Amino acid sequence: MTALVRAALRARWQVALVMTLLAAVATVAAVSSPLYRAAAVESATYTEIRAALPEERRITADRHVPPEKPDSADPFLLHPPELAEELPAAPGFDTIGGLWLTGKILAPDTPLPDRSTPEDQVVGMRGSVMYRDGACGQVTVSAGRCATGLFEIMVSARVADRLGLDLTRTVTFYTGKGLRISRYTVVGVYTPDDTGADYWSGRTYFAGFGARDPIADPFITTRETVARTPGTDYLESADLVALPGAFPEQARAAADIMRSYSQGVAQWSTDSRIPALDQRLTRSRAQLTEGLALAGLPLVLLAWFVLYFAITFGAGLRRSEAGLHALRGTPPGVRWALASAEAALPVLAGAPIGYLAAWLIVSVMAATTMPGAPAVTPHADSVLYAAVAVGGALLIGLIAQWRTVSAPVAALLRSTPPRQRPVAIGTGEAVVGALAAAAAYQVGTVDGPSGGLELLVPLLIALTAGLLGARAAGLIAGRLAHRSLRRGRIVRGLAAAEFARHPVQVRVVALTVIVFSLVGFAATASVVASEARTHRAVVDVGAPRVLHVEPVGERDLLRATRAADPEGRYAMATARLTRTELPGLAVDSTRLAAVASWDPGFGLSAAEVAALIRPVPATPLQISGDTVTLRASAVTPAKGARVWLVLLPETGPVVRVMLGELTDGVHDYTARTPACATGCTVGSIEMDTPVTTGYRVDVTLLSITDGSGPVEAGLTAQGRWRTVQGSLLGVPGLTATATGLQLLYNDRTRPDLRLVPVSTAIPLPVVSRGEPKALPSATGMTPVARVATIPVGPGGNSTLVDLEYADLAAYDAALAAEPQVWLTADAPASVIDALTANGLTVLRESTIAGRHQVLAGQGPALAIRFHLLTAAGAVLLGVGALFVLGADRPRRVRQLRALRVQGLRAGPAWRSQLAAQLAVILAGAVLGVGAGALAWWTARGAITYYVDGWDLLAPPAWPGVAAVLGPLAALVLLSLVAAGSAVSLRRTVEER
Amino acid sequence: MNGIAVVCRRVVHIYRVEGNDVVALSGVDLDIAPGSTVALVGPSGSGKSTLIALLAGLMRPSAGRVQVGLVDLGKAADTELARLRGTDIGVVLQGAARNLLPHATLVANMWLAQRRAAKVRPADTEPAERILGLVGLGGFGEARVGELPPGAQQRAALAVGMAASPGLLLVDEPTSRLDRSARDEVLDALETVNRERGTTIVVVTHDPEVGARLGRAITIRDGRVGAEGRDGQEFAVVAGDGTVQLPPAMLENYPPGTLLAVENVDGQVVMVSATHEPVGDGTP
Repeated sequence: MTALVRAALRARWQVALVMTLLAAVATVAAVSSPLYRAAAVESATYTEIRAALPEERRITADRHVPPEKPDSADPFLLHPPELAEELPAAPGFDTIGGLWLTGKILAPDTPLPDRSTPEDQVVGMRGSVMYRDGACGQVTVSAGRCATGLFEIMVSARVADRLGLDLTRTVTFYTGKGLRISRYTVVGVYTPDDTGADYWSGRTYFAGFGARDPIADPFITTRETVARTPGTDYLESADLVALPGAFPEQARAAADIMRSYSQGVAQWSTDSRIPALDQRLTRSRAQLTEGLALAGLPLVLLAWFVLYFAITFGAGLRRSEAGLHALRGTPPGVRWALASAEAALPVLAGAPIGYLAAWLIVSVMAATTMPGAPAVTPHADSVLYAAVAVGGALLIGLIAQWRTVSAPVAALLRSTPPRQRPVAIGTGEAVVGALAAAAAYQVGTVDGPSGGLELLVPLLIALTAGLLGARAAGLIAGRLAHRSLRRGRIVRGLAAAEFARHPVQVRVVALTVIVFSLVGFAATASVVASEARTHRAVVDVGAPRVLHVEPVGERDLLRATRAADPEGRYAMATARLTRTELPGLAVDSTRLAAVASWDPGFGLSAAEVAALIRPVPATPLQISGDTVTLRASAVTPAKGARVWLVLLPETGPVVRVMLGELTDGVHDYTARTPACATGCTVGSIEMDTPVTTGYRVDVTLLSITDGSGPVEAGLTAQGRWRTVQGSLLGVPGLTATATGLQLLYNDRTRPDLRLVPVSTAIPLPVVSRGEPKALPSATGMTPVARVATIPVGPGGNSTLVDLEYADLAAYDAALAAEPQVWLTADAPASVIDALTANGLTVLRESTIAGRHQVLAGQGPALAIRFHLLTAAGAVLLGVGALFVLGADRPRRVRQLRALRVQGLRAGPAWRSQLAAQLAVILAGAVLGVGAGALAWWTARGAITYYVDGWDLLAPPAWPGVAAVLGPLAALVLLSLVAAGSAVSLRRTVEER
Repeated sequence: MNGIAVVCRRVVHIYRVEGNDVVALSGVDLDIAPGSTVALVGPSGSGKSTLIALLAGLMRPSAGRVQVGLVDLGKAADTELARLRGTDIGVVLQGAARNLLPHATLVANMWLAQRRAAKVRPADTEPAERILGLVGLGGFGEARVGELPPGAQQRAALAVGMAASPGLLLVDEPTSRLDRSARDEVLDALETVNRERGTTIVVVTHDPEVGARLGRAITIRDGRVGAEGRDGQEFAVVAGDGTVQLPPAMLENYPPGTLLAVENVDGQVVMVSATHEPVGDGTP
């Protein structure tokens, strides 16, 4: 028997080869899914971790450490604090310990305070002394050395400049009333390398103390120095920074470990957004698992279908041979074994080839498109999938042979085709159609995951369309053949007859419908997903390039950006709103239209939005000169009540100057304002009153005069001034009278006596996304328009306001939260240099393209990409089926020669074959693309695009023209193969 | 194995073709003794191929009895028929190439044809080379059918038909498209098989010389046994229903509807036409 099988395989090696390839494709389809999934999970994890926010890769732990009790001999001297003997630690994480203490740096010529000096009367710059493990490796020491000895410190270059410090100088550090001062020796000057690096764990050591005092970098010293500096509140920190490979298991464990630290005796206060990252990783893994669980199935089923087609087709061509076996009375088992072996051996040979090919394909894909994916290695799952695919293929081979083996001998010897079973075929088609309808209904109506059913919908719809379409195409071709031949159109008639009369052609139509449907669906899903990611990247990032800068005051951010790009063509300052609970993004709307990337799906154009959130130019109250005078009339003010002026200089920290103690009657209150020589914006006029049992205020502000004369302060204008909104203290009455701005209050509750000039539209105009809802009045905002979405920037903001408005609406200068500078794609490098020159320090850069890349590396995108692999496999199977059809060549040759004998010319003879083949492909393409569109329309809602369920902007309903490329490429390829097969007949036919 | 007897009694076979019934055999009565050689001759469409298909168990008679050995083929189960074809009945189809797998050697082809016999009666299974030697193809066991000349191809087909050492060998048109020399080789091979194995051989042929060479030639006409020639002499045959077909040459003078008086004159059957002289007798 072996010799017989070997001889048969040798004689029909082309068929065996095609079967081997088909089995290989089936194996590739089955195996690539688990291999791809394993690689994709790792790659998605890698991408997710790389793109994660720094705070999602670390755990910060703090605890406030009180010192021991005062020494009995010196009640003002506190002993060193009780530091933790052991810092929190977790496997997979690097622990960076630290100790921090704040205080004031006294100027060298300042008299030292004694124990009775009130704290607020101690003149000095706010500062801190800090120890952090390995800090010397994270800074550049420009002079001196790293601090190693007791009470040795390194100062930052900025602070050294500000305080005029240099090496070997002594610095006096004051940490609070009654405490001893400490003296440090400067041994080094440093500049931090990258304050946004993971090492610093997002701690704002270098952000100073808000906009009032932005340059106050810490002294870097030893742990012992900090511990032995007298203080009352030491902040001990332990930052756990994830090492490569910590995710996801070790990170999850670390989060649990840290929770235990927070509940332990030491009472660490821990904070981490690792759970958010872990959740995304878990979702990504789940989406990939779910998305790919059945992803290979359509291709496996299609491969089985083609194998069945190939085996039955081959068996049909060998019916006389099977008849010969039966004629000799060969036992059915031997006959079956002989026939099956000829199919089974190529299938078995195809399995390892397919496995190897799958490994290679996935390896190449992993290496080229999956950053961070490990080397693809075979595993038990993939072997199991291969076994299922091959087992199924073998079973199909055995079943396909059975009909031949069981056929009557006489029928086999006559080579009559097997009897059609219309009832069984019709029932099968009805079942497939019903399944497709049920699956489509399920996917279309049920919310939430459909268990991967959406992946079967395209196949079921394609199958239904293929079966029905092929049947209809056969009928139409039959009529066309009849009519064309009657009218003497030979080529068309013969082509249509070839199409209509041979059941195998109908099967090829069904197959090509399925192929094109899968290709169309995959191309559509891929293109739509890519477009959706592009739209989302625009929303997430906001502009082609976004520079994340070190914390800086909103005013400074605006000023620096406008100074770097005076024409407003390239750069725009943005920051998150922090004064309200409403997540909002503040943008310099004068540049919004020019700089922001704007998606038409947002609802309004950028220019419209800008006009809405900044309806009129801002009118800040400006003064300039060395002195400022406020004339006010006070009616029996409380003793000790003082009036202050908060001034916001063009550069530098906020200035709060005391104008004087209020006294009864009309008086001028004057203060020196050297910081306002080139101009200041008036932030607010503030009054304070001593704490008492009742408060009575009656003050009228009459005029403001600066160095150049009276200031148009609008003290008599309605609405030019306001009190602070949302204050928890009592709110005084404010009235603009003919003489001035009158402030009245009479209550037992302490009043909030801050007056803010109104420089913008009030309430603050806000454009927000989503369904309309009233904004809390305390926000001081009012919605002016609703849009589908906005560029949300960091933190998923839901509102958009003007940054200058927001800054001016605040009574004080605020430090911009997550400050960014958005840039156009063509922003020249000089703009970035100018930003730096104007005081901004760029921490990192985001781009829409980069964000798109991150989204493209996440689980859902990788799962969708697998569809393309499936589609390519389907096209290969289509090609394989056409090659199988090539085995029908002898019949066609016989047929054409017979026609030639009857006088048909060679040209029409072979052209009819060409036309028939191309008609099959074209019919399959048209029906298949239609079926793919129907499948897309049905299943598109069930496709997951993002790992975090983002839904601010709906993905496009239909793809762009790029989606046509897939089916078009398949059409060209299949047409070429089919045409090649037909053209190869030419010479044979011409020979007669 | 010794030759097997064949008995056909009033065998009728009707085809169903596109909704119409076509009578291929309309009452064939035939007895073939074990070990004899018989040629079935007759014009195309006369029913001889149908008859041999019935004898091979490839089809079942619509009526009547076809018995090969002790088995009534009309009543035998499919499995029994398959067993018979694998053991007792050897069939050689028209066209030598149709009998052999073109890609397999003669030995492999014979091995395949011996599977049933090897299972049922392994002791009777002869080596392939010996059977090939019987038909004059000794030493050609590793050849493929396409490598042999036409006469040898036909003998190879006979060898495959004889592979299971059947008692009945049914051969369809073994000498068509062969030159005289090749034809003689094939006929020699058939004679050798019959002589050495005692196999009953039934050959369908158009060639009267083949019929003459086999000794007994049964003419099938219009689905019936029309005549039988033995040793050069032609006889009419009384069918089971009593009918006798006149020789075709004689029929020209007696168109359908001619009345004949059948008389027994001194032990001889005499048919007397109402307008003609007696047309013959019924002596065998």
